Amino acid sequence: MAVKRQISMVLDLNKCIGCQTCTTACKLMWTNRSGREYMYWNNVETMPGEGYPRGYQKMGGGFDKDGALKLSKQPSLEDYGIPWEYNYEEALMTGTDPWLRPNVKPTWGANWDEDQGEGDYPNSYYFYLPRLCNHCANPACLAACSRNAIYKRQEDGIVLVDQERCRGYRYCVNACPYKKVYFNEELSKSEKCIFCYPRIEKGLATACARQCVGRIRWIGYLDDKDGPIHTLVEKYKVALPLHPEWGTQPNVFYVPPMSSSKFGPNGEELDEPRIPLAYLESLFGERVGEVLETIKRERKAKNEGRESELMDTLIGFKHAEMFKLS
Amino acid sequence: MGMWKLKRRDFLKGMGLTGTGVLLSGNVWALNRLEPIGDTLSSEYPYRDWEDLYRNEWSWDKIGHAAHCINCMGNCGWDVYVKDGIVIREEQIAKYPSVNDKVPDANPRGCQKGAIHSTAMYEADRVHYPLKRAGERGEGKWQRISWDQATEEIADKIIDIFEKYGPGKLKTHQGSGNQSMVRQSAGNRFSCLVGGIQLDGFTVVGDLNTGAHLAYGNPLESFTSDAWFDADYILLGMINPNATRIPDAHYIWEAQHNGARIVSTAPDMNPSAIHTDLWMPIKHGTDPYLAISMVNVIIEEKLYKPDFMKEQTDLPILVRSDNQKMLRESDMEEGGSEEVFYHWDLNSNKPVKVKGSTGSTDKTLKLDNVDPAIEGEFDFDGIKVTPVFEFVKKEAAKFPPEDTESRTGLNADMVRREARRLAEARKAIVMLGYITSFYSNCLFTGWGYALALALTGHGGKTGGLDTSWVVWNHPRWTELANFGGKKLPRYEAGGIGEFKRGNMIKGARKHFDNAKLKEAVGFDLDDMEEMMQESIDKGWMPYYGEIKGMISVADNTFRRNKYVDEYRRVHLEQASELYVNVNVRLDSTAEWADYVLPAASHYEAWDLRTQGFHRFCNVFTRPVEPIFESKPDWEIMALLTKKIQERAIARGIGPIEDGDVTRDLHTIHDDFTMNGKLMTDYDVTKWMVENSPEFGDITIEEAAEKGFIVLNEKAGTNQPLVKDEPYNPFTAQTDAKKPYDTLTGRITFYCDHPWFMKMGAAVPTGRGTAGPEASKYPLAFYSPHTRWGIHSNWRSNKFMLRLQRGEPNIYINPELADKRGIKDGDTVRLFNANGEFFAQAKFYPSIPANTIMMEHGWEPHQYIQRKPMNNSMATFLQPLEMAGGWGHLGFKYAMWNANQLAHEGSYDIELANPEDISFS
Repeated sequence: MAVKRQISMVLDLNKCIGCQTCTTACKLMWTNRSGREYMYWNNVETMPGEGYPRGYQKMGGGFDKDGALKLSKQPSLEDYGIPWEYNYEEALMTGTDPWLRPNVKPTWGANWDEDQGEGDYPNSYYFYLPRLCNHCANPACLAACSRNAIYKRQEDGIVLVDQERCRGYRYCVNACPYKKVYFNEELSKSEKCIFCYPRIEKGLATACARQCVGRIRWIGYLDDKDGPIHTLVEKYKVALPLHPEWGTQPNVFYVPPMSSSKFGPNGEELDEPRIPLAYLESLFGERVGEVLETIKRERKAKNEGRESELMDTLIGFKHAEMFKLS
Repeated sequence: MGMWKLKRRDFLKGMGLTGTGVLLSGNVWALNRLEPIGDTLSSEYPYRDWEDLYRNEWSWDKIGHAAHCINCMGNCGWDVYVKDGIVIREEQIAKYPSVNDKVPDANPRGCQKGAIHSTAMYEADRVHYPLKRAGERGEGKWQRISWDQATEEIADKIIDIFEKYGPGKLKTHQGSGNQSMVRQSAGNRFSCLVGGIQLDGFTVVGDLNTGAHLAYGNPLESFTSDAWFDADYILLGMINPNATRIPDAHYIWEAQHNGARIVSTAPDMNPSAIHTDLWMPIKHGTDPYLAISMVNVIIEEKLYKPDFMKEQTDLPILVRSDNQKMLRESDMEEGGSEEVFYHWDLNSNKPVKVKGSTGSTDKTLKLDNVDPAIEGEFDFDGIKVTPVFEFVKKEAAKFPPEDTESRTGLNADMVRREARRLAEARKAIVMLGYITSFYSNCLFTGWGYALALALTGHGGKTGGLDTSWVVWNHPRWTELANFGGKKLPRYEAGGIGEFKRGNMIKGARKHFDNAKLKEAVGFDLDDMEEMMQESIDKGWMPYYGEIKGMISVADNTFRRNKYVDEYRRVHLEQASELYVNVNVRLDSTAEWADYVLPAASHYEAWDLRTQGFHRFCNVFTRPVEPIFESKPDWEIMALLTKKIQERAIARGIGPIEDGDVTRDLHTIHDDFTMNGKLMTDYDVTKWMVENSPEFGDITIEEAAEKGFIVLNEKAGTNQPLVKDEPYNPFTAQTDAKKPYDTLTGRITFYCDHPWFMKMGAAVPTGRGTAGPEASKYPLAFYSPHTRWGIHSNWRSNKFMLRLQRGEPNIYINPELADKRGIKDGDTVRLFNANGEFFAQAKFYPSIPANTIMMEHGWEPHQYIQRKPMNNSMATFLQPLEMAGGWGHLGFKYAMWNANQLAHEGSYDIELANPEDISFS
């Protein structure tokens, strides 16, 4: 490990309800002001889907097999979604506009394809994927910054863009394959998720995690054998990084989603999950099937009244204990 | 580790930026007097002072507490962060204690709407000052006036109405927007004192689970959400908790991780269905057929549990074979009770009187040494009698899953398997959300599932029906809000009041084909009108007729009612003398008022709230002062009553006779404030905290410091709220053998009310809804609750809208869209006999191609041309829900009266004509 310690997050997609409380928590914490209005340092997207920014998975970035940075498309403001405003005053208070509407015709937003997914009724499928900066062990943003203004904090591995040193060249925006670095046009600086370090330093979990009402997020240090991250990532190996093939070595991990069975022509249940395994493997790598089997086995144990440390961890009996910050 | 450094130049070259970019960056370093840094990945970065930038953004002056007092059963405690007198953000308190170590704790209750309220409270639709209309009603022209002027003019108008028309002509309905104790008490106490009309808040919006009331005698006795966790079978019967029960949903998925099987029945694979072990894609509105088919399987495969049936249900109660009426004591004895019934005791082979019924003096469910028969036919002094269960069997036998498959669209083998799983479960819960009661067959859905659960012994700690509401015992609140019971508002049947006063029959007659309607739901509009009139005439359901003035509090009545243009027209016409709206924002109802009085929002007043699926009372500590000239509801009513009292005295008005009571406008302020004792929101909060037994010994200072109070055992209404156990409903019945609040004292599956007999509904059965079959319009349509608002609250908040499509949208299957030439994002026109509305089309492959969904709650002023969905939505009432004079059936506020229905109508769809949707 390049850093002394690495803080990390695990998200259980089986518990994510798509409520966007994390998104709004982050929004009011950091991005409802100062040129950050269009940014969602944390967003939740419906998968399969275009995501945020639109089509980011196909833009490129990250590293190739040889460890070389790969070029990507620079997202436009339309790809992120224009943060439209409303004519409250004119439509409601002065009666000068006939109805309340956005000031631009909405054509895209951070959650535009909510609940859409793929497949045909009744064999459609979708699930929610919350995303934040992965605070990678090998950050492409950091590698691409010609100013050396992006660094990893040695004490916790949080990746930051030095807001004094940054000159707004946007190489980092291009290089990050997750498109989790944003350009602040007002300030001419690049900004991104800071893993709420001011909170972490005070022993408080990130806003997205502490405010997650689905209780899907755990935070801790990767090397802490008594912590939840180690239990889920190392011990039971049920938490996987998103797109490991992009080469950045994310420190955010996901428990992949189970799904109910598909239906046959007579409405009978087939022995085939509605979310194709191959699709999940394209996101989380080849171990998905194994992880889903582990969860199935451990759920069965709980159903039969046997102990399961794994499921007890995933249940997360005490909210405060989902975060181990020392 | 050096690899990426070597490659960077290639990367930059690729971006076409090497020349200037790299050179420039080198120059800037020099100019900046910063040395280039070699390795920012694995060595300590030297220039970290800047990090204070973000640290400084995370700062505040003080933290207060609040929940949100709207019609959401979340009720979540928040820390409210204040800086320079402005609320900058909120974050869940997240410190609720665990009930016990085996159940996940309730933290951090909250959702995305709560998390952005600090933006909504400062939005430009907030009402800042008392407003008086300066043009015609609804014209959007306002004059700012003083509180003194506003309250004086309103007071005089109210007195005028009393003088001109007498009492009973004021509709003072307080809507579901005020669910917290202090706010709710303000409006309700005012209604008590003036004798205003207050409609049943459940049925006005179609929220009452009438099937649950019919079965259990109490639709509001349900589970706290932590009691879901130890279930091993949960059927999300008609509910989408991931979208509409956000703070509680985690318990379902934690139960799943704990080994429970989670199943959903829903027409669309909604955000909850995606996580279930099985999604049953049921055809819209056919749920009673699924329930009764499950009953069919349970009976046919003998999966039922006779012990539970005998003790807890009316299934062994004897029914006369000759007239299918329950055998009553009055049939057998001179002067006998009509509310005492019989079992056939297999031990003595004799009939015995049933203990615990309404007419019985022995209030217990204990059978002692009686073994009541549930099957067979017996002779009782020449009268042939047979237990209720025989009738249930006979009816259920008509509905094997193979036969209902064509209605429900559900594979029969799948239904059989789920019936078995429900029967085998240790603790099974069937959850029915408020969408259930938006359908005309709600009664049958709730009743059918109650039967499936009772047959399989699921009650109390072994499960039961979750009706999405838990009511706690609050004697001081009840006393305050109802003026100690000394004077009451004119409580009115909600669905009936809205339907009649809103002239909704007109829309129903335009939309539905009467003959087809009768075929679909078992009655037509003539039957319905006749039965409604009978119900009113017989005094089963109260309806108070024409109004002259309206004071609307926390109610978006011109948004939520169906056939709404006509509804609004009639109300404004009747309330010709006065229409006052008390509101935090200029919603679609406030827009039409004569006067708008600005109310304080959630973070601007002291208050308490317990309603929710949990045992916590959240404390609102007025983190900031009311913005501009807004005032807490209590203070508004105190001011208004002060003026009424002053003006009444000045005008020489004394006590006004109103039936058994007098309306004393000349002392109304003294009465309202308990002679000056309760003048402010703080006074009331303090009084409530310090006098309510369910809060225990706690001071307001302690409560405010913490932000919440844990309710003690006295909070349970049906049984004590046990300190270290989740709350399961009806354990007083299953464990302590206390009778249910029903005619027979038992869970009821036989109703010999003449209407139920006439309509073939003496026992649970299958029943459909109107839908496309009863009209000319081919597409089924439903408008469920949304994850993006609580009804219209936060529906027009820009932070919420930016995470949606920015404007009202419908959900359409791409296959249907393709047939109609509609692309995702297009504006479409939905139309039927009652009108049209426009919305953006959003593709949703998880909905059937013959169905359109639109989440409800959009403000009429958000629609193109201000044509809201509700205007073209026709509705009617289920006549059986208006039945009375039979045991526990009869008008009971929040318990039994007819729902306003929302999902019976249908539509057709086409691409919108560009000229119709332009903004001009």
